[in-house]
Amino acid sequence: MSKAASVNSYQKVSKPAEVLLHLTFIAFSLACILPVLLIVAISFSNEKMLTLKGYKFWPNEIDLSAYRYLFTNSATLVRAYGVTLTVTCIGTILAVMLIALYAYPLFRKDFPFKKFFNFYLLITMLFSGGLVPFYLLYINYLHLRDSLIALILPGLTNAFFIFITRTFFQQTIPEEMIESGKLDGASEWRIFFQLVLPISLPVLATIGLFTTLTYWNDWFNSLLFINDTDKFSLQYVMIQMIRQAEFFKNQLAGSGVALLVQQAVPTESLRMAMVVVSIGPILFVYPFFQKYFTKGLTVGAIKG
Amino acid sequence: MKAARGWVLALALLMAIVSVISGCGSKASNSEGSPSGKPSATSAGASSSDAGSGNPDVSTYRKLKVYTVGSFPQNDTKAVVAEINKYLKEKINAEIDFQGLPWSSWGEKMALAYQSGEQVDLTFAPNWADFANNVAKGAFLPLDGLLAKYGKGITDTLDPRFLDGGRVNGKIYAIPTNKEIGESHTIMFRKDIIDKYGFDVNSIHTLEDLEPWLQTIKEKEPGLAPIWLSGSGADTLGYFDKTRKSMEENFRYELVAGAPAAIVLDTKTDKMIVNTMESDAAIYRLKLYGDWFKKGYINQDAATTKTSAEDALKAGKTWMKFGSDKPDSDKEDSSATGIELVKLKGNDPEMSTASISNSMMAIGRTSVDPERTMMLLNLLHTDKHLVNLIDFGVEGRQYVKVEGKDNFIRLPDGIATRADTGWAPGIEWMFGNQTLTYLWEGESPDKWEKFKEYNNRAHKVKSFGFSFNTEPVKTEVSVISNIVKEYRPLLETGSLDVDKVLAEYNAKLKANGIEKIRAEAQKQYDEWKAKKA
Amino acid sequence: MANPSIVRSASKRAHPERQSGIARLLRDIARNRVLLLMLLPPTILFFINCYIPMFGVLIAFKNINYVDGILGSPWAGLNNFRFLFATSDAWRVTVNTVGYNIAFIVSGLILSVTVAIAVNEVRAKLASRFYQTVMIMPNFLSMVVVSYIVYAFLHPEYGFLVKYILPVFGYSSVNAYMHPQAWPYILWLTKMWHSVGIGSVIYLASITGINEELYEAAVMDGASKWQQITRITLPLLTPVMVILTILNMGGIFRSDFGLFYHVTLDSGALRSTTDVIDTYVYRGLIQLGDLGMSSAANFYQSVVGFFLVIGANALARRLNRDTALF
Repeated sequence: MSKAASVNSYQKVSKPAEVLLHLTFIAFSLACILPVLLIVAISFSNEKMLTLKGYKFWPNEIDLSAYRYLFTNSATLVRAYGVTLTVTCIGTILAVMLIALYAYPLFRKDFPFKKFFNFYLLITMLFSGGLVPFYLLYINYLHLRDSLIALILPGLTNAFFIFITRTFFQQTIPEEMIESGKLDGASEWRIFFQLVLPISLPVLATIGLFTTLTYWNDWFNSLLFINDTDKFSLQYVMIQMIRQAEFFKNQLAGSGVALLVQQAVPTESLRMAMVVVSIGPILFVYPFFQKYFTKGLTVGAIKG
Repeated sequence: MKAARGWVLALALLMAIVSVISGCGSKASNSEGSPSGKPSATSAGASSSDAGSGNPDVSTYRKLKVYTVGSFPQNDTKAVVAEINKYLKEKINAEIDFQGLPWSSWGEKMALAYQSGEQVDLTFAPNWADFANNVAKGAFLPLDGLLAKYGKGITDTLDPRFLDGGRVNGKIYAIPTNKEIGESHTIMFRKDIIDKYGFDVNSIHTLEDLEPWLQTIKEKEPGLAPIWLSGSGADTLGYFDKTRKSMEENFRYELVAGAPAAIVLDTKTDKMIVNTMESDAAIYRLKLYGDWFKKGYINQDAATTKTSAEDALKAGKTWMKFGSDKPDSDKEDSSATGIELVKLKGNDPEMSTASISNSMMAIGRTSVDPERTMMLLNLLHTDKHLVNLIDFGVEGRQYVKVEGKDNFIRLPDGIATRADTGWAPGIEWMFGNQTLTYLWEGESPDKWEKFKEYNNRAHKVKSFGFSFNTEPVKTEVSVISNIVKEYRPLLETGSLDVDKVLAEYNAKLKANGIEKIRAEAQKQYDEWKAKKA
Repeated sequence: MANPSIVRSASKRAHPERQSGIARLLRDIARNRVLLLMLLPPTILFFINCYIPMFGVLIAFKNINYVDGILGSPWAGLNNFRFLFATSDAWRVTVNTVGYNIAFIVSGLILSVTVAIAVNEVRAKLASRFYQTVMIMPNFLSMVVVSYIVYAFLHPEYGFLVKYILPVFGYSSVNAYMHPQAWPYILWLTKMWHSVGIGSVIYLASITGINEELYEAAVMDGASKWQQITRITLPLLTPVMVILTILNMGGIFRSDFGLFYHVTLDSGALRSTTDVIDTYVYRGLIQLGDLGMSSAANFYQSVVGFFLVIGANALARRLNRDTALF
């Protein structure tokens, strides 16, 4: 059964429509990609020219000083990369597993405690006790100061993704499949791992993509729980540079000390170079997960 | 219906949890600070009961947690801190756990540290970072007893006027850094332009005197903004307020420490007033800005630009900037911007509650050993080696001494800027006694004598020592802060029609309880005055 | 606490056997022990991360000091909530917050679904992959960084828009940061640019989950492309759309702080169209640093969100039992 061929045969749009489709998406893609290129351009710009001539897609002269600075201080960057990679990998795997484990029973129509666990989740989405008690718990009771666990743990509980996953299950998993599995004498675990998970790959990939992004972009947990500079995450290092400039502008303004510390602000090109360095690798994540967005795995009867 | 029942269930569960947590929460407050051994209550008690026992006891080794803010992280932190610790171990049998926090997260981190009861021994606690609030909430220990016992070096070297900076309700809660005691402001200009047109900086006595210069620049130097302002930044004209009007009135109005910027003190009548409604000098000044903006003396995007005056100056978009009028500040700024600058002669420095408290160190209530911490603070005020180690790093690594010149240092060969040395956190003005620091090659040898002279010239403002407590009107203060932030950048850059904006601003202040704040400020000020007299 | 049995009986009312509540509960637990075991680890984690810290809501009603801690500090009644309503701008701030959120939710939904369906019709594998990858790129940029990009377009002197595009329409130098009326469009555009690509990923994955045979059958019956989309794709996407919308309702009193604060450069002249609850709270408390007041704001936003979610869910249930969240 050649899938690609069969897809083409019955789902093709008309030629003019296809051209239009491509044109629209090319425009959209440009709109998405050009601003990112602008950031790259700024990172290669000369600080003085930026103030003088504004931002340009093609810098008047290529200035590598921002990257030179980053490379001479690359030890920090390399460590930050290590932290972020570790946290993102472990975190994503754990999170996807936990999300699937929670979403599956909620999807089962015959599970009597569904309502309770639904609410249990919903409440967490709507009410938070705020930062302070969360911090107290992690620092004073769980003793997670300067521990990478403190960067992983908060991302493991995302009610939003569970609800999405549950809805996906409802959409794609035929109930008859569970029933027939049961009739065949398969255990609940077997049904979950061997029947449900394989046909849920698109969902799991989506959730995996989102959790990867969440972990990759997280800086706030580093701010809260990490004091040891060797354990700073990449985004935290970046966001600190970016926020520093904003901080001086907004918070210290007129306090008398503003002038004492102004020179400490990293240059604009350096800040943008840091942005470039920190988003670079994540661009390749989407193609990785996209592999699993494949059709035609569902078998048997259909719901809808 | 069913949904509701589920909700009730969840609520019941929540209540159960809350009651469970309440249990362990109260336990928590008893054992706060205990992770490092000694509970805070006893250590705080010890400081007073031990008083008078004489010799400092340093037989137990301590690890003190020191919090500060600066350009962190620095690459060479470990080596510098190791060096500091080697020295401190010898001196007071203690080491420090140095927590250098970056500016952008310092505020959040400190609030959480104070709240959670973590160990905080020495912490940077300037007046502009919630100091009054933190004292009121009990974050810091009172220091009078400790200072008397272990802080002799501080009381000997620090100008006694400084100590008022950390005083709240008669008790000292923080020790100010020994540096300039007052503030005065000035304007700096590019020397080449000044020379080109034959301007004489000594001829400028008021802001209005600048006008012919501005006109010349506007006409003859089309690439330069006569004045560069960036709205929400520090570069507002309000920074240099020597107008003819205010000179005539002999600087009648004063800022009030801790109060929203809309409130000022009229020193002639001792009344708190709303400056944009009642201070003719303030209104006059705003109108002057409006006039200048219309004439094109001010950059047209002043209210919203992201470019600071310093960057604009560096890039050659303007020829002047506002700055602090400390001794040698023109030299410092020239070397920072790489452009030769000359400055106007400023007023005599004014010493206000804010100026003596803008850099202070406090001891946390959760300190494991307040005595030892005070000894450390004492060292910071007296020990030249330690101060320079913290400020500039390790000799031979971060700097080298200039041969033949005792107090002078320079960068090691082959290193271009201080940032490249791995230790340039910019904390010279925070730790102890700044006048003990080495001078960089090129600075005036008599820099610290000049500082002393400058400090002696400083005169107290009338409300010196008064600080407004926002607590009784915090609702109004938060509402008014929003309004001030909305209008001030517009007014202080003259960007929109001043009369219209001013009327709108004042109406809005009135409608949102500025009167209540003013009345409260007046009440507190009268009480403070009565107590002082 | 016999409450779970109430829930259970609600969902299994038609059960033939008549037993006491507890016995039934025990039997249900035993029967579903594997499913419950699956739920156990995430449930514990939610308890740690979310439920234990929830006692922090008390802070909103307290006058906090560090010595007494959260539980020992004196009560403040509703005092901490006053600043949210004591301003003459309360109405403006609320309208802005809700207005932008509704616009974002509705247009975000429409655009994300459209993009997902459209990109799914792109047959060239490579092109499709490229579009999808590029579309989510804006989401990698934090709002502070986005503010630089917007500034690059709107800079009163050098902005691309100001320099190259507006002159075509006869406008010369315009400082957009002084013109509040332009900002609803600018913010909307920025937000959509930032979020539509990533938003469409969920729908895209959802479309991939739809069984091919449905389309095959439709083609046999002579359905046009348009009919396939409206009769098959959209109805099958509805549950996800409904869930996401309900969940988004919970955040209707919250906003993307960076968008409204950094992207507008915090310009005072733009407040009338850009001030939202989060920026109002931030500006009001940044100097005060009052923990109680910020918790109060958070609590207020949560409560409104809670009732909206309950309301939206009730509505969804009325329309279609299966698509509702709970």
